[in-house]
Amino acid sequence: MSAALRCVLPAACGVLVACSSPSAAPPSPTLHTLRLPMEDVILPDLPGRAKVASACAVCHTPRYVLEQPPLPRKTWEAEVDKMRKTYGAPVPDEDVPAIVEYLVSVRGG
Amino acid sequence: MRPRTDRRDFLRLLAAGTVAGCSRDRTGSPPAPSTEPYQGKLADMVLHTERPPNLETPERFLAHDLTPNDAMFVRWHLSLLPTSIDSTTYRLRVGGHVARPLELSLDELRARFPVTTLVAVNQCAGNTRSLFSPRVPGVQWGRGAVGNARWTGVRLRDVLAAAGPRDGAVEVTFGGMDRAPLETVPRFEKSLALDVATGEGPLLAWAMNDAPLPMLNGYPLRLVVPGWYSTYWVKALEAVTVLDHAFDGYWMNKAYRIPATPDASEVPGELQKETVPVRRMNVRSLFVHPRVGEKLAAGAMTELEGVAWDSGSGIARVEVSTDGGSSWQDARLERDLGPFSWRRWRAVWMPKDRGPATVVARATSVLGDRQESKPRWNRSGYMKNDPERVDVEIA
Repeated sequence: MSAALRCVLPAACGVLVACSSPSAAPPSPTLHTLRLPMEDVILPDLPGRAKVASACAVCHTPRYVLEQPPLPRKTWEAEVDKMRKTYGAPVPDEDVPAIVEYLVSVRGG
Repeated sequence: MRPRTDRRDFLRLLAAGTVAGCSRDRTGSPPAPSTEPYQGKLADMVLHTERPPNLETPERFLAHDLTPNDAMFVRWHLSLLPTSIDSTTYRLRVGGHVARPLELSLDELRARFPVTTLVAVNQCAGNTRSLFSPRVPGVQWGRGAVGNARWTGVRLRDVLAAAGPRDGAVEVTFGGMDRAPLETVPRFEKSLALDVATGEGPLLAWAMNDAPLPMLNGYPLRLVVPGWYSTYWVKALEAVTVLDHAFDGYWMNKAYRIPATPDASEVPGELQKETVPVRRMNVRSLFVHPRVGEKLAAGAMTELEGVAWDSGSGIARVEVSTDGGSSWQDARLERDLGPFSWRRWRAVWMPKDRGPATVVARATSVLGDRQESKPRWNRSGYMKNDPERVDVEIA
């Protein structure tokens, strides 16, 4: 694969809306806006990375993975379970083992 | 009003695979954080996550009575936070089990109700989560998921009285404008019992340290619940809803729970079955000086310095130890900014013997609660407050 593809996107899609409207009128003084920096996260290149990036990054930066301390496998299993059952993360059953394996390989303990 | 965000654009971007590609880095360590500062925030805020943004206050601000707005920590749960709000069209909806539902503009809030100001500590329940052992999942906050600020707004109870809770009202919920990209993720909503909501403390605040709330801290309006963890301080508040039944929302009944034990502790591997929502803060002190590993000169005066606070009774006493907790002396308490504020403290120390030393601080509240040296642990990493021990080197 190419050497330096990174996970880059604006940190909130409001930024996209703003950027795609160059002809918009000058902002009103009563309008308060927030522009967020670009997200730039590198996930380690280990098996399962693409599944993690697509399943988890819908809702949050993949940096949440790198933010974690080393955690036991059963904690990671519980996290994946919570994301699927409580938050509705779009992860098919057959992808769960690969995702857990990736999380354990990156932040297992 | 709704935050101006577009879920479809976001999902299209994902579908295009923009976030799926990554480099060949095998170290697994986070890359250097972006150097582009967050809007209205210092460049050296500690970046935990960018989406949603979670930024920690640099430790040096524990030396200030008030945390400047550009240093106040940032904590969001859902990644579609409001990015565009017109202060003239914003309305707070107050409704539910009330006689007179209201839609209030910022100007109406200011004009109809007495404006009040207080200083209060804003602390995340998970402040210092990274110091728990064994480690627990979550945002790995150091000591900077806390700040102290002057909040200005109107009393929640005055606004509720104007709406007129009907007989049978028991609870009040508070909803923020933030949303998740997936509809299946529960919206951020917290609740307070009616007697708490109609107490003297809670404010609907539009100003922090006499300036409008930064967008990242909840512009245009946030709930301030003095003495309670900031999970209740709902940002970008859009709806206040009175209920005639118990609230069963996710952010009260599943998230932000602590073991139902007297000190919110449990034992790893033997988790408590019964849990309750985290609510009021416990008594706590933090060092700003010395720092861990700092070299201090033998025979020279140095200052031990920090802050202490509790849930609103006030700080009665802070004791410091320079021998690892064997003997204690009282620190001097600095300016009192009110019972919900933190209070700075300092003590003078002249270390004599060269070698390693451990300084410790423990606070006692006016209610008589004292920080205990027994480490507290729970699965979510909340309410840590055992006395800080700072190892230094005397040279």
